Amino acid sequence: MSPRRHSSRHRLALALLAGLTLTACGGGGGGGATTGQPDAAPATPGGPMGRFAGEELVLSRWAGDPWTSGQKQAAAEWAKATGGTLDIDAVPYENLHDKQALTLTGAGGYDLLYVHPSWFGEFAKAGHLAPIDGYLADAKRNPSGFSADSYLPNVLAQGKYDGKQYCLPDFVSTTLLAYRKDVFDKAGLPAPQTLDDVAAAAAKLNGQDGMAGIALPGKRAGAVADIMGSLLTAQDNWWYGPDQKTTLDKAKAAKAIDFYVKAAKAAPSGVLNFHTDEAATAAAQGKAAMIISTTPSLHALEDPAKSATAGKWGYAPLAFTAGRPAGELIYWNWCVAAKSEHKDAAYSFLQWYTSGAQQAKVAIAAATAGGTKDFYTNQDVQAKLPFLTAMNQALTTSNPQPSLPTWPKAQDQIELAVQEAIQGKLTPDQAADAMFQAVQTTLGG
Amino acid sequence: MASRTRRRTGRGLGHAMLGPALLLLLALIIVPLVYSAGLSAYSWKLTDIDLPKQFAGLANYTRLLGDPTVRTAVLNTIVYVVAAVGCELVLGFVIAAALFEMTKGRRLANALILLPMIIAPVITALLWRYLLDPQFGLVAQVMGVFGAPSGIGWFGDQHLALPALIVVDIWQWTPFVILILHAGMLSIGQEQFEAASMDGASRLVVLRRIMLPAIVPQIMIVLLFRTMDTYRIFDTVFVLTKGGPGLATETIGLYTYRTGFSYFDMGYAMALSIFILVTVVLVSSVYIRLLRRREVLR
Repeated sequence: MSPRRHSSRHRLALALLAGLTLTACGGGGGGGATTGQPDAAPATPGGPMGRFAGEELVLSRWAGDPWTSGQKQAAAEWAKATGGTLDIDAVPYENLHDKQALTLTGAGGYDLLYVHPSWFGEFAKAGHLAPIDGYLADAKRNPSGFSADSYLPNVLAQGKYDGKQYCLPDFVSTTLLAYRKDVFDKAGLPAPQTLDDVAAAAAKLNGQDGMAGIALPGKRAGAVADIMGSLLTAQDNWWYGPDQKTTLDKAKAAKAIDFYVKAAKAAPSGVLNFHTDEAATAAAQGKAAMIISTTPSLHALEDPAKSATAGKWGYAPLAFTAGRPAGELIYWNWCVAAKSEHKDAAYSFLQWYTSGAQQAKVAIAAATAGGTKDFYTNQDVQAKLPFLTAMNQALTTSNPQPSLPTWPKAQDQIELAVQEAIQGKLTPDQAADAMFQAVQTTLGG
Repeated sequence: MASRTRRRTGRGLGHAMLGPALLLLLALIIVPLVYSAGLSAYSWKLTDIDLPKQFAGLANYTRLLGDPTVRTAVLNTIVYVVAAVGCELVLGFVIAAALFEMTKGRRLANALILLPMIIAPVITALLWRYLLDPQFGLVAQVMGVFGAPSGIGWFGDQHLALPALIVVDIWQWTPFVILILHAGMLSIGQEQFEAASMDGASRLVVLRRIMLPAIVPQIMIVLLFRTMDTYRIFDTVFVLTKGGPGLATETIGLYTYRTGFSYFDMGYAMALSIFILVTVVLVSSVYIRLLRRREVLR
């Protein structure tokens, strides 16, 4: 072997090794069968139904506070009232689907599950979940007056598959408009009723008293698509139909984009890098007269510890036409596992946990709302979350976040089209066209 | 005879001792690499995990060549690499030379200078996110005090976002350049400086004719490592801009991640990964060739 060949080979090996090194990237069982008394009245008023002495439930969920610790507290209360036990198997969200799928396709082991909308259909179709229509309709399994009618119909419907109810909802949120009542009063402007009012007020208030007209998310991180979805829903349009083929109306998409562009022109500097928290911080610190964002982020506006503008905000649902509010339905699903040997006890916890009174406990800390009608009339919660009335109106006409496997790519392209329209690279019509192409390519239709 | 046996035993022992490291290398790098290369020949999405993989041959690679986002991402990446590495090298050399000249407080200065490098890139990104916040950031406040236009949305402006990311990289990684170049300067024989002094050479001449030529190997090492590192940039961009606004800061590493873990298009993501690997290896081999030529000349 010549020194020259050796040298080149050595060089190549060294380069390859350097490249390789630097490019390298990096439930328990459920115990015995049901032996409890599911019809037994609550031990205390407002407590869970039934007695389930010795029954051991396991609940699968993602790990994250304040929800996990709130649920642990609820589990302890449920155990004390019914005699059963409830262990919570909380794993990082990114591992949750795989762990649940493996457990459910194996011998089972979970009684209750948090099921994300994007895999709800998969689990229901595979028979991993137990239908609960019978439980919901059985007066003996529910507190007096409690039934399927106790839930917001549009929200409850998301836990239905093939005509059967599988899951109960909680931790609901949506997109809303918040506006500074004091600023509007000072400027002599009426409370905005429509998005045209919002755009006009944003343009008028922009730059006054060091404030932008409106703050809203502009970053490609999901919230832009949430707001675009609400703007489409407000025009009776949606990304796709029941056959999962696109139904996007280009003219309506262009109108929604046009609004977004107008709003962004009156937004704080750097809006294209704003996610919900940046938008909320700007609004809370008095840097914007209005904000459109998701409800958990709007909670920060009313927290005196974080907000210099607490108590000054009014709220309204998004609407292109007055009286036709719209939002996007963001929610969680709780379901009973088909292989659970403790379905009665599991339903007891599920019913009690998703009721308005229980939801109120976590709602104030987490700023997510309940899925039952009575939650929205709870005076204590109203006092802490003043946007509840507007939220309830928005939820009457709302579509759930798309739960298709191909959605993330479509969402990214939708947000890119909005950004390019804001940057002036595309007109609203061109951006709507790009959006249509992206949705059609990724979803079909 | 005995010495030959001893030599054989020694060689066998050497191989045996290398074995675990080679096995680790095989398991952690070679096997995933071969698997990735194989996967890049298939059209396979994580969303169709139950369906059989469709053999696609070189389709993912031809798609890559015609993908306009890849072109934008590669161009952004090249701008990022050239600007960041160039500035880091110049700044690093100047600061290393200043450190070399220091007689007092060199250790303290060294320790302070190295601080940015030991902070995790994600923390660095968050730090700069708050520093450059257009409403509440320190930079905006200071600019406001001096009457300059404050409230600039550095990461939200299509023309400023990439330069702002480059500044973050320069802040974090210039210390690495300083560290290597300063070590190179310290290894230069004192007699060379004494001779230059006796000949009446100016500081600039000493810098140009003695120090700079002496630390060329260190410069090549710095260029090699920083080029490879910046070419694969992901974490800072992901935290600060997510590739936006629009595609203004989309880099090839971020696009690969997005393709694999947001779009779940694993076959195409693997083709992009292999593309990154091949280009990194090609650039590295150029540097290594230059480095070896320099050693041969010496």
